[in-house]
Amino acid sequence: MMLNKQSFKLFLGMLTMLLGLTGCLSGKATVVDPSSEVEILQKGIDRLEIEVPKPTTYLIVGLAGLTDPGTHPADWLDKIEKMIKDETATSTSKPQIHQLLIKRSSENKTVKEHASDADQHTKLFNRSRYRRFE
Amino acid sequence: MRTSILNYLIDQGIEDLNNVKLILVAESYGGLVAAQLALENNLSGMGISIAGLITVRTPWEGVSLVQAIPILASLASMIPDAAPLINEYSKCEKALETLNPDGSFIQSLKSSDLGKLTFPILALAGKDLKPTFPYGLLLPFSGFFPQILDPYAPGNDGLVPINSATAANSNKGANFKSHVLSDFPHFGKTTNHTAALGLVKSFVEKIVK
Repeated sequence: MMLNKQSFKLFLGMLTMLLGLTGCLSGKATVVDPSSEVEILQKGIDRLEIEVPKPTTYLIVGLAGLTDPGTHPADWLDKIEKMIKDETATSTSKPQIHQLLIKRSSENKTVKEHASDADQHTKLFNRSRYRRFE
Repeated sequence: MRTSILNYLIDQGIEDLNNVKLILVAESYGGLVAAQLALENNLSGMGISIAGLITVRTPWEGVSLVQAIPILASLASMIPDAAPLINEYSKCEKALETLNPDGSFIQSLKSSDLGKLTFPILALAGKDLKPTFPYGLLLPFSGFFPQILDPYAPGNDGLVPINSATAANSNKGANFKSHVLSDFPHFGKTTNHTAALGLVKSFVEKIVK
């Protein structure tokens, strides 16, 4: 009889443990807060939103011809700038627009020398200065 | 005069160079400067990319007229209308070397692989120029210097042959498009500005979208 009582207690204990365990498991399943799931998703979306590219900076560069020092590109730069602004007026990542006209600085230059004028970073823009932007 | 693209960006306080895209609009010789910039690919090392290039009456394959500049310069006094232009050109010795179709720069450009350029290029050419000065006076000399009449050959814009402005014989890629516009002379008042701007507009739209 004692054995039976002990067996019964053991059975009850095991049953309680089993129920408790089941309860925990089922309880865990039922305590899911839908809002937390939404929050997790939202955070994921936020992270995705952070990865949206930054607005592009467009630099429109007009390079003048040899005999006409700049009038033609100068005429067009404003028009092209306006076009870009119009085209991107509803865009979420609006570009910045800048324009620069490079005029003929000397009549007696080769195209290589003109290109050097246009892109003086090879001469003037040393590495230490560039680090400002890294 | 500010001539450095990069110095300009610094002055404007643009610190994120990785988001800077250049749209180059180049007239005539300026297009050769732009091509030089693009082919040397110096800008990419700075994080700046070229998004597009528009060349307007650019002699991608040179201008044969420059081979006749010495004789034209000596004749300039006989053709008052042409004198300012010819005198202007005769002062640009080094640039004339660049524009010579048989010169090293043009030959190098023609043999270079423009197809490797990843950005779109739009080359606008003009044709059928109506002469503004009596070029017929040069006819007697054209036997010795046939290049004298080249600018006024059918299909040219008054200076740049149509094949040169469209890089017809160069090693182009699929990104290189060209359009020939009527009434779009190299010198003087352009009457077909609207058509040219329409082409530029659609070109720019594709870049920024």
